[in-house]
Amino acid sequence: MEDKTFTHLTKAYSPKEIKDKEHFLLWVRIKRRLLYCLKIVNYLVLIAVGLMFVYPFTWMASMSLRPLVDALSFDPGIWVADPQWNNYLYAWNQARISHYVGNSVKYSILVMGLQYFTLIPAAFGFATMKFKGKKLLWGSKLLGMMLPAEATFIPVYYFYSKMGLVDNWFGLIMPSLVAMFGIFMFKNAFEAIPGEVLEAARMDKAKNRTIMLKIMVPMIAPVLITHLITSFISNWNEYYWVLVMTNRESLRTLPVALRGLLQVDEGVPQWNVAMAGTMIQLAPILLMYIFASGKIKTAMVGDRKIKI
Amino acid sequence: MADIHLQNIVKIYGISKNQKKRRGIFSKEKELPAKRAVDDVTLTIPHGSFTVLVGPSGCGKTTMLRMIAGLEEITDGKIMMADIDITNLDPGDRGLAMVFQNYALYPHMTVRENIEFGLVNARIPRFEIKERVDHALDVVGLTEYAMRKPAKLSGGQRQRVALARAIAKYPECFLMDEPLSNLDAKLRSEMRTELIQLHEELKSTFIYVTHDQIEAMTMGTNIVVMNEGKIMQQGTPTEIHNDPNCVFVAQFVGDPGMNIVPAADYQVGFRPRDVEFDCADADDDHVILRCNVKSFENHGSEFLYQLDTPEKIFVKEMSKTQRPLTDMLTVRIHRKNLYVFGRDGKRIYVNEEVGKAYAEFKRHWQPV
Amino acid sequence: MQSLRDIGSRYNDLQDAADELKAALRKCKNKQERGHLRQKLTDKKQELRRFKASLAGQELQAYKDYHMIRREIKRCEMLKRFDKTGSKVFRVINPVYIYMFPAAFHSVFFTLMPFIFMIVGAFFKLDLVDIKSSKFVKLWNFYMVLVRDDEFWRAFGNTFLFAVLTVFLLMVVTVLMSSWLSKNTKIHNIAQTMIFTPHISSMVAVGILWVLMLDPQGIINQILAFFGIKGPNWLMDSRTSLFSVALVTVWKSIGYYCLIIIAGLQSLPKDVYEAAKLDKAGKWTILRKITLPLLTPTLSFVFIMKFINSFKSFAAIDVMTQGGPQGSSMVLGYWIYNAGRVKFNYGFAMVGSIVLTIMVAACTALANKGFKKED
Repeated sequence: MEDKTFTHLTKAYSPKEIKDKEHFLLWVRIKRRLLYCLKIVNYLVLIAVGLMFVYPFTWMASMSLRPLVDALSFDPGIWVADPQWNNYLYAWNQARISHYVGNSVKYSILVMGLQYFTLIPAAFGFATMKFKGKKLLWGSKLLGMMLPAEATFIPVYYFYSKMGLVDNWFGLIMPSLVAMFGIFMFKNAFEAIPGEVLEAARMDKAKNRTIMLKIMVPMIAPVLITHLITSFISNWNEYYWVLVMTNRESLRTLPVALRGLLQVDEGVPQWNVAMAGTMIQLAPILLMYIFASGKIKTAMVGDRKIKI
Repeated sequence: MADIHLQNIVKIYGISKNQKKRRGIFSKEKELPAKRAVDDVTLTIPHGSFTVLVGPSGCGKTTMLRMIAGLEEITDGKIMMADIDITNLDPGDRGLAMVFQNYALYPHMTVRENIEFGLVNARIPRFEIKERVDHALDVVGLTEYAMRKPAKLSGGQRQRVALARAIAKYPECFLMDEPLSNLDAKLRSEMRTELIQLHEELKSTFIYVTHDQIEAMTMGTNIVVMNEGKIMQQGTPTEIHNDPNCVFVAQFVGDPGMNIVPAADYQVGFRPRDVEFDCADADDDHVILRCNVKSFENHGSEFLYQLDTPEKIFVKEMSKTQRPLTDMLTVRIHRKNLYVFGRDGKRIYVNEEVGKAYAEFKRHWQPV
Repeated sequence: MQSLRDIGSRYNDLQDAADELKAALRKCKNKQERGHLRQKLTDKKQELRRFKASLAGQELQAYKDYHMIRREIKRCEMLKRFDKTGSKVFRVINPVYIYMFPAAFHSVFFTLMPFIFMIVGAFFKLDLVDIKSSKFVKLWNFYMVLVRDDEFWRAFGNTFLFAVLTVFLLMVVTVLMSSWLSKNTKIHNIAQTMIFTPHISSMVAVGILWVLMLDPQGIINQILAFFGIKGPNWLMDSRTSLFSVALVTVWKSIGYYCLIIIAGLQSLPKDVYEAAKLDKAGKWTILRKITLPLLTPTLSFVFIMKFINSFKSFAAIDVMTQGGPQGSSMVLGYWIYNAGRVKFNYGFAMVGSIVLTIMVAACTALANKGFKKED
């Protein structure tokens, strides 16, 4: 029996067998090569598909640097022989983009700075405290999330006009300050903190605000950062509310102004300038994305998974 | 001194009105009956005692501790500390400190900040805080870890930080909710002795909750055995072990618990340890049992045999050699080691009835 | 040389006396007596100062320490008093109502009041400039919108069509793409990052970009022409306008949904797959019997939410077509905006809002019911 087991190792191969074996090995090698090639092709296709999503932005950048005549030809190439930086200057000064950038910055900073004063206490109350009307309030917050802004803007506009809040910074930022999304996120994060820690804090004579500010908020710091990123992106891009709630140019933010660049009374819009303005609008977010893509990706996707 | 009195404490976990409303008519779920977690408990915890609340899980011991701490609302009753009613005080104002099962350290603070937190909230002057924290760290032996975050400490060290946090408050009373259950066996026994030493050093009241009767027996000076929200017996470890007042306590205490055997209208019990082996001479003061052995456990220096009877009966022998399982086992029990309980599980002390039960037991079990 | 303890007691005595005088001064009303007390107080203070001046070195240090300790104790006592008043106040007012005030105000002002206004307003010929001159017109608004207005019904149909188109396209593309992209190599990561880019850009910017790309002479048509196909007029053609806008929204959100699905795929329990492999399940069986059933709850939730959110897409329509040639890409949200903000027919807009709200509510309720059953 032992002999039998080892014969195939010890016996000499006949020339034919050797040839077969070589054939086999060759076939294996070819297969490996093929697979390797396929892998590379797969990678190439991957990058090509990725480019489908990035190329338009690059093309936009190139458009923004062309002279108007070249821009109107819609040439798909990216290289610009003679970059017209003047387009940006023109957009910045003549199209008053500078003013709108200022407004956008102001809007985002106001919202981002002030929202935590309302979001965190509300989330804290919902997560940890008992009070009369909690269910009712939560229900109405859910209703508010469901109710489309398209449906409620006329009544709100009416209230605003009666209270003098139209074309007013406070009126503009007010709805974003208590956005349901943030309350939801912080409430979930607060609820994930083990109850024992809060009880320990209560044994330590901590008052509610101490528990909130010194225990819970530091413990959910990562969620805070995530929310900061998401809220910056969504506020920087906010369009509908600003469009509806402002009449004067003085308060409009960049996205609304960009929309105005497209509307010309006669002829074609100045595409190169419009593109320059759009580039300016996209720049902060794209720059952020280039430097911290991983962080932004997880911030935008990861937190939404909690809800599921 | 500041004894703690619990007077007719009741805790009912019911379904609140809101929840009832939400369960619509479509729901097939039945409403849960309101559960009495703690049922009319009256108890005095003497100052300076190491009181252990012990009982099986779900017996209401943790609830009771949390009620003393003020973390749980009390449905009915009163808690007095000396002669101050603390029933409605905030947990922080009761002068108590609690050590939690999972340590409950603040993960974003260093060890020092963790200990300081309660003192700062209590508005204690800074120079005193420093003194107290240093002292507490010294007591638990963590002085060189003061600037670390809890995440960088081992389980035992975290436990010590939690202890230090309690110590620094100089509380009237320490409350501990199964603080050792997350440690491994060796560390647990170490911490046990340390806690006993700490109790002797600080001379303040300890209230300690555990489900482990060995822990209770080794640490406590005053043991409260609880079951289903009621106190079964309160006493020193020796009292609890040697003089149980009901079947539950008898079976709960000891490793394994007391053997309980029915005899006519009574139940008779004896400890596995209280038997003599290989003595067949019967007399009036002894009962003899002869049985096959069903199984055995080797505990190293002693052997535990389960007898082949309808009731679970264990006997324990201090010996390093195992008896052959094929042989019949003969054991002798002295009359004074027998405990007599009534049908309802209550201990019977009346001499006549004890005698009757003894006779019954003997008639039923002793081979002729 | 005094002992340090003596310095302490001397200092404390002096300071105590000074404090007592201060308290007495606060209470005292008599003018003459006040002057007297003030004189005494200055005397004490001077004595303290002299005492301090007489010390040096270690003794001075001790004096300073005692001073610090005294101040610290005073601070703590003040804080304690402050806490006491605080807890008294909060025993009367539950602090949670302070925390909740902004949220509650927001709820009332931006949800409940508009909601009621919307329903009531639908029965009026509204005049927002002078609300008292609005006329009660019973169901006239409803009649005009629901019976007489063809454009409204077109918008209604378009809203559904748009949502179905977007979600269907998105579902097919993302499920296929994410199973292809779900790997943890560097190239895959780069591809994921690239695909995600449009999601973080604003809809306006993307809209403007695609207006250009979908121009009759734009890039898309140039590419089609390269293959010998004559591309349609995309946004300017009433047959393709809605489809084109849907395509752009899909392009924008592919990355987001792909990443969600990939995250879902990667968070599936590994041991289930190992068990399946031990049971000799093939790749296809694993996909059909394990991956899909495990992912379905996530996927259905995500896509139903997307479906409901598609009812609210305003920016894309506004930037690219403004309701499109002959109302071919008009959706309900845009119709309401048009009726209210452009044509000032507020009553009509209210009716449209009610219809939109009912649509969203019905879909949400249906989705919720479906999810409850699954649980």
